[in-house]
Amino acid sequence: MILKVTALCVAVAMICSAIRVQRPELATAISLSAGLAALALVGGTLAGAQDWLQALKKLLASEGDLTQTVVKGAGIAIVSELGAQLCADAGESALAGRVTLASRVAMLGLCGPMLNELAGLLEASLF
Amino acid sequence: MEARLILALCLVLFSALGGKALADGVRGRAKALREIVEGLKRLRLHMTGMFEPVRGALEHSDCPLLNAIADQMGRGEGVPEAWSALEKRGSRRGGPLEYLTEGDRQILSQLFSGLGQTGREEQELLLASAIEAMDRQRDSAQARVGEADRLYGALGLLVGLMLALIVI
Amino acid sequence: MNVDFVFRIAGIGVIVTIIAQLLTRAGRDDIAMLATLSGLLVVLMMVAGQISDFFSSIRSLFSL
Repeated sequence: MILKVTALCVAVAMICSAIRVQRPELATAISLSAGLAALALVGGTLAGAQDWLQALKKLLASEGDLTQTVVKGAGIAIVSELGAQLCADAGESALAGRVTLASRVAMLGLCGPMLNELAGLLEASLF
Repeated sequence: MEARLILALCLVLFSALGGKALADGVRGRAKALREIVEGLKRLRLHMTGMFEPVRGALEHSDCPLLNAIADQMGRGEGVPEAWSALEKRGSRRGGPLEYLTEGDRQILSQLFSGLGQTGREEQELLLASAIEAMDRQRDSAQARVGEADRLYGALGLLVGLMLALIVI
Repeated sequence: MNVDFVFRIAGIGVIVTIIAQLLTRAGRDDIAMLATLSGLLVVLMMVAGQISDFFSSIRSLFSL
């Protein structure tokens, strides 16, 4: 998988560098499709690790919510990283910043209940 | 998959032919302008050299456009009216105006609005300026022929390849 | 997503770039711009479906 992803990204990077001088918008569209293809290849391997994740969930049966939160966080990180890097590549660093901001807010919202629980634990142990 | 390959090949072929047709249009204009310039030179010879009447000189010019005006004059019209009638018929396929641009037509309109209306010297000047202007048009059209061949041929092929990539 | 798909899009991008360059050199800048925009639209339409599939699989994989 890693060889496929590397070969694909290197090949498309060379094509994009040739096109970007004349038509940067097309180079961005091509690198978007290559990024999606690479992530699809990675996702295919990750889907195979779902059994392992399910086994881990069973092991941490009481902490099922936590595992789910971590997995969701990973998903948010992957999507926002893709979006932010694409925007930065296209020269729109402000938009990349907005994507990063949105991912941070989403992570904060995701971790809200965990932070509440942590605060409660700390309060209980200290007082 | 075979059907898609065949469709892709057909698309490439038709696009290349389309590009060639566009290039032929440019070549057609250069040829038409060459004929008109030669015809106008013969017209000048017959009118100002041999003192033939306008209609006769147009008939002897051996140029499809000028012959068509002579035919139109056979219906009892003058030169300007004959030219207007020919223009109104438009640039239909195979017609004498098929490849002419707006600029070419304006030069011819100026010529035909005054042809046969004034004395020999004025006609000489009118024909000389029309021939000079059409000469310039012909030279620029001729220069474009090679460039158009390459450009439209390449464009046709590339568009066909792109369509083939989309279809496959 | 098929890897061939990416190279098809790259091929379309390269061809559109060459077409636009040919037209610009021939002095037809407006048609070159139209050609680029059309190529971009075609590529985006082809990628749109893949983006939608990608987000669906991310949603199902990470339970977002």
